[in-house]
Amino acid sequence: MNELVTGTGPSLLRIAKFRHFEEATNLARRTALAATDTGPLAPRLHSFSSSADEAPGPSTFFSLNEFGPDASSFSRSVPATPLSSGGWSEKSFDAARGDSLQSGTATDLKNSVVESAARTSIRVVHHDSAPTFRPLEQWTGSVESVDREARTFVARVISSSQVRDEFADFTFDEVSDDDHELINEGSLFYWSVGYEIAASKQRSTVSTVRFRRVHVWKRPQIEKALIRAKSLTAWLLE
Amino acid sequence: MLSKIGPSTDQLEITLIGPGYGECVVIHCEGEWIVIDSCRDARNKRPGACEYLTSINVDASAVKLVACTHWHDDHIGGLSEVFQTYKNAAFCLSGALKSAEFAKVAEIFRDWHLKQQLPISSGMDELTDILTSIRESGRRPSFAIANRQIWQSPSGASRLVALSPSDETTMQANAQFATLVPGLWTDQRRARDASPNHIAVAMHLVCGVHTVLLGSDLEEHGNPHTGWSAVVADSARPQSKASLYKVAHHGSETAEHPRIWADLLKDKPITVMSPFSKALNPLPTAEQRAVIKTRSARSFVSADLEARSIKRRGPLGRIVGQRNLRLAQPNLGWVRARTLAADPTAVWEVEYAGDAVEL
Repeated sequence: MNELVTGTGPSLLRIAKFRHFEEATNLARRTALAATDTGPLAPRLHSFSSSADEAPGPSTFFSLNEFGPDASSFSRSVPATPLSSGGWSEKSFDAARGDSLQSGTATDLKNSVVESAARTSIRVVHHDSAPTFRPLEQWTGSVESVDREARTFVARVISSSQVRDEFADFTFDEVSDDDHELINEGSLFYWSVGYEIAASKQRSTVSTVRFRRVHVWKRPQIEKALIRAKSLTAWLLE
Repeated sequence: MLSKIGPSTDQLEITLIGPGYGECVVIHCEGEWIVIDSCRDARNKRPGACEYLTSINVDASAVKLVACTHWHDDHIGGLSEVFQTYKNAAFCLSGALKSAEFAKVAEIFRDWHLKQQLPISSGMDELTDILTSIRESGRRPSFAIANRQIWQSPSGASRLVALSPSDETTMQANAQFATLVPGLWTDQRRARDASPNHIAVAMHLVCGVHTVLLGSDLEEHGNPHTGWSAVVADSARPQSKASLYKVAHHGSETAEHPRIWADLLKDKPITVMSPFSKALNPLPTAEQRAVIKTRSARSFVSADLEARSIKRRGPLGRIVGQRNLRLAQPNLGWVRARTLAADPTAVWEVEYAGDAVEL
C-alpha cells in the first residue's frame, strides 16, 4: 500500500492511496484515489471509500479540488478531473508534470508522482499491508426482479447471522460497472457491510455488492438432464 | 394462533394462512381436509398447514388432497413436507405442467450446481422433490384443468372443481417453459418465475349449500382465452355464486375482472387475501384494498406488511436502513371462516390471529 499524504501528526491528510505501483497498466486502470481523514472531510470521504475497495468504476472518481485548501497543493500538481476511461492514465501524470513520460513503466510513473509530490510538499508513504475488512453482516442474494429503466433491482437476501430471509432494494450504482451485465433475474451476489480498516488503523464503513460469476451450463450436464426429462415426461403423460 | 377447537363435521371451514410472502389454504368439508399450496412459518420453518392441522388435532389420514396451484416460490414453500406428512392424500397440480417442456426445466434445474452450496433454492426444488416422492411411492398425481373435478366428498354432495388453466393457457405454458430451458454456456442462475400467471389453478368449491371461490394467482391480461376472461366466459363452469372469495393474486390490479364480482360471487361476499411483500410496492396496494373492501361485506388480509423488518442498530442499522430491507416472510397470519355447510341461512363466522388484519 502506498499513500500520498500532506501535513504531519494529527493534521496529517491522506490524499491518495495506491496499489500495484509495480505495474503501470494496473496503476492506470485500478488506482483508487481515496482520503481517509476525519473532520470536515469525513462524510465525503466515507461515501467515496464505500465503493473504492478494489476496482472503482467511473462513478467513484472525483475532483480533488473538492477536498478544499489542504488538498490544493496536490491538485496543482496532478490533474483533478476524473478520466472517462475510469482511472488515471500515464498521460494524465505526464500532463501534470509538464514534461514527457515516454516509457510508461512502473518506475517512471512512480518517479513522476514522487517528483510531483516533492514539489508540493506531498510525501509518498509506503505501507506494508493492505486495508483489512471487518464484516458487520454479510448476505447471499438472489436477484428477484430488475427495473432497467430505473436502474434498480429487488433481491432476496439471506444473512449469515439471521435465520429469516429478507427482500432489499439496490441501485445499479452500487454494483461495479463490470458486473452490470450480471444483474439478471436469478443471478447471485454477495453483499457485505462492515468496516474497512486501513494500515493506519483509520476505519470507514463499507458496503459492497459483488456478483458471483457462476458456472455455465455445459453440454454433458444438459444432455444428462434431458435423458432424465424423457423419463419424467413419459411418467407425466402416461 | 387461532383457537384450538377444530370444526364439527357439519361445518365448512376455510383457513387462509399467509406471511407477507406465501400462501396456503386449508379446507374442511364433510369431515375431510384439503390443503392448497404451502408456505412456511419463518420462525420454525415448518409448513403452516402442518402446524395448523396439528394444533387442532386433525388426524393425518383425514387430509385427502394436497394441491399445488402453480410453482411460484410463494405457493410451494414446504409443500414437499406437507405431502410427506399426509401420505394418504392425493396430489394435484396444474395441468399446464403436464408437458415435456416442464419436465426439461425440472430436470435441468435438479442439477443446479449451487443447490448444495447456497441457502437459495433453484426455484424448482420443492416441485421436483414432490414429483420424485410420488414416483418413488408408485402413486400418480392428478392434473387440474378447467372444469375438471379434483375432489368429491364421500356423500357426493360436495366437490372441488378447477376453473383453470384453459386449453390456450396450457399451450402458452409450453412455450413459456421452453424459454426457461437455459442455453449452453449460459450462466447457471436459478429458475425465474414465469409470468403472467395464467397456469394457476383457480377453484370452485361447493360444500353443502355454500360456495367458495379460490382465486389462486390467476391473472387477467385481456386475452379472451386465458386468465379470468376464459373462466367467466366458460359456460361449462359450475354456476353457483360464492359467498366467500380468496382474492386472486394478492389483490393485485392484474387479477381484476369485473365479471368475477358480477358472475362468480354473491353480492358483498367475505373476502380474504394474502399479501405479497416482494414487490417494490407490495400487494395489495392501498387503492386495491379500498376497492376490495368496498365490494365486500368484510375483508381480511393474512398479514399486515407495515414495519416488518429486523431491527439493526448502530452503523449497520444506518447502512442497511437505506435499502428498504424487509422480511421476506413476516410472521404468519391466520384467517379462519366457518359456517354450517347445510344451512343456507348460516353466515360466515370469521376469526383471525397472528399478523392478520381486517380491512
